[in-house]
Amino acid sequence: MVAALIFLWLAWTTFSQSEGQPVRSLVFFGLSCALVIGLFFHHSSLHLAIGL
Amino acid sequence: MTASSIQQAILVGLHGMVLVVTGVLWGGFYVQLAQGEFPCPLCILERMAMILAMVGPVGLIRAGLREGQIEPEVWSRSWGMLIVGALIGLVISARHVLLHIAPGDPGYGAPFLGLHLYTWALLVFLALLFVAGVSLLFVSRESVVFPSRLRLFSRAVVVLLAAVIVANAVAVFFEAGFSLFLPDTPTSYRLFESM
Repeated sequence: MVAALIFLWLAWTTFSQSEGQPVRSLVFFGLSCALVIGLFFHHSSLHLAIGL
Repeated sequence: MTASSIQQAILVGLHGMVLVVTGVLWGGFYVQLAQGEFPCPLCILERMAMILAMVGPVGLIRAGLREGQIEPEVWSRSWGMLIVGALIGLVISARHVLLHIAPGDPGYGAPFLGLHLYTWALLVFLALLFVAGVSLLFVSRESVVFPSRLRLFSRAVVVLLAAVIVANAVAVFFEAGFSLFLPDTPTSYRLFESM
């Protein structure tokens, strides 16, 4: 379910970009990156490797 | 040849690039549905990273459609976003390749043209980084006029990408069902099992 929600979030991020609001676009993009990296950490158990 | 005309040529190529990545994503679907393979969590993450890498280019196309021209900062920001997305994808696919690099390991899924899909993903991310690097060489101080002949093609490219993102959301929901996360090696569509 988490992955499905991230795909929906990515769709929103990709198609909601507004040129008048570059900061908003970058914040959305940054959140998307954080979500993908977070899921990667979860599935790779990398959080264990760095002691979390 | 001026920097502006090179940028226009790159814009045409950018449409092709988005189309190729969209094709790769639809190709993954073909393997999933026609060959009955279940994408693993890392495969799903690679698809996500490809979409992430396309956020910038799609923004560039949409800015061109909306404004009729592209400002230099939009150009740079879009390619920068592609680099960030492609780097994330590169790390994920490199890990995926390394998981199956031991001698005798058959890899995950059937190979396509001699390489597994995650190896192809690694090559796609490398190619995207190369394209972004080349495109950033030609940033000019002036706005680039968006070629009006591309408008219909641009819309088609954007719609195809939007469709594949939504299709992925649905497919991964079928695969994970109401579980929070996918299993390491999926072997069924959990949503149908839970019904």
